[in-house]
Amino acid sequence: MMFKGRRIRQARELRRLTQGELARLIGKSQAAVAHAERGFKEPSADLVSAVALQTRFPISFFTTDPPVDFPVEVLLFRARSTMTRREAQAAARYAEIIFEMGLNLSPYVTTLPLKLEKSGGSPVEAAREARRWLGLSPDEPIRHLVNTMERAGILVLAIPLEEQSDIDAFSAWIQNTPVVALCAGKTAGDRKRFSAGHELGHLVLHFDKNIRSNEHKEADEFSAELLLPEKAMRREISSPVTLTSLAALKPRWGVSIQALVYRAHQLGIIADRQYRYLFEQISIRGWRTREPENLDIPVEKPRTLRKIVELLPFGNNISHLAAELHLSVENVQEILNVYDGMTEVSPTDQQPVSSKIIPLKSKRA
Amino acid sequence: MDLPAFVPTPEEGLELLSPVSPHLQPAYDNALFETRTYVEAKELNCDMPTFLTFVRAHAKSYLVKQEIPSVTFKDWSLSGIEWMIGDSIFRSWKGDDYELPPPGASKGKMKFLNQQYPLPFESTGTAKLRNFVVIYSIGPSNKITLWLVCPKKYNAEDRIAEAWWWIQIQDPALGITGSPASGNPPDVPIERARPTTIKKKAG
Repeated sequence: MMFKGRRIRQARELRRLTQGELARLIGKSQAAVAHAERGFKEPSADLVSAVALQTRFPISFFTTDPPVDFPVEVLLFRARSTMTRREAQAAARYAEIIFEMGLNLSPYVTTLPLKLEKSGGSPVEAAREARRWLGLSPDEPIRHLVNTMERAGILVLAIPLEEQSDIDAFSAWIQNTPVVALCAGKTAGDRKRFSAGHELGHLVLHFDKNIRSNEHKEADEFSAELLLPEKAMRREISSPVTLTSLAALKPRWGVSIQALVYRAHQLGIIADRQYRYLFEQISIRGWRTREPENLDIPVEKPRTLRKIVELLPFGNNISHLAAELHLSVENVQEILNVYDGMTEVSPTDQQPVSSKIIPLKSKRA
Repeated sequence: MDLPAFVPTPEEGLELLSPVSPHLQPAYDNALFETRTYVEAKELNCDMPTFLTFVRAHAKSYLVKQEIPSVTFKDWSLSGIEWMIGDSIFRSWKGDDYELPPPGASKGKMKFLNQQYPLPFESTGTAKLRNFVVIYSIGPSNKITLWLVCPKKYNAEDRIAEAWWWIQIQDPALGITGSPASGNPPDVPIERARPTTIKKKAG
């Protein structure tokens, strides 16, 4: 059996291990791990078994090359400044595996036409265009942004990073597919929505991979206009602006009170002095880190991957599915758990085309 | 809390105040901002009592503009705020947490604090005290806290104003409910592919 070094690297980075750390765990030298990963020497069955055990992937996972690469350097991360490269790599490797799952299962389902386009306009113009492409009203709240993106043919991945992750989201065009990866975790629902809008902005505006100094600022401007259109904000935020009046808008627009203060200032609805005062009051109330619980915005999760699994004839047999995907049951469950299940969406009236489905063949054979 | 029958409970007091209470926090939040802006713009060197009087004046202006149904504001001169809801009278004073400000030489304030108990022949269980104070306290970090107080008496000798009870008036932002994403989103409209398509794609 041939083993692939790139899989060792993928599994190692997903578990946030350095080559040295993995080597110590499996009782090998760091050089042995490095050589195996780079393909200088074919990994031995003994080494792969030890890696599989430590990284919690099945042996079969290491028998094929990954079909896709999410290079950390080209991914556009929305993250706290404390994000480490190791954390970014772990998120990227998860995304590769989830993307691969979708790739392997995609022949068994219909695909949705892509409604997203690329824009050469300003972030604000692009956000207004995006609302049109997504079939949204120009100035009404977006109820389910993630769902809207999925229905527009954008591949939204849920990354099962632990709750303390510094990463909110990242995105890239991969194999001509617009991909947005949202990290699961304790982040507030309103922040997740803003992150989804931010990444959508990157896909629309920053598709050419040219490095820009202000790309995150542009993506924020895009997300602000997408989620809080100027026309609507001028209509709904009126003087005197108080935290109470902004708090009342939070459930309607699905963004944080802080985002509303920022937006009101950005649009000139409030002056610098009031902007500073409102943030001072937010801090005094302890809302900078935690806005009132009664105003929590539900976390939006993607659905597509789990829907695909539900449509498979063996979708409810997790062991079968895991074996087909060369993953462990634990791997598959960990991933599917961060997606919406069928009870978390409203049913559509579409029925399966046919119940006679050809069994999934391994594409690795 | 064991209260005589003629003393409304804190919950009853809050209920009486309910037409105005959603407006109080924004009124004082905005008033503090307006006062600071004014004082800074004019480069005024004003002491704290004067500053707090300005705050109350702005709060009064805010509240009156709300035109709250069933609430009558008394047209006091300067910054004094008093309003009536039914038979109940509310006044808003600056103060500290759990400390009613002494009335000084004001006979009107003394009378308000020494509110008249219902007479025995009125004691059918329904007659209750009518005077309430809304205290606004501004902490050193500019945190505004609002209290509803039912005054009991003023002891002129000790210059201490006593209350039957104090209860904090909740920030109305903490009572807002509702969500844009109430209700589940529609399912993504993907379906099983036709068998021939599967063969072609997977093969």
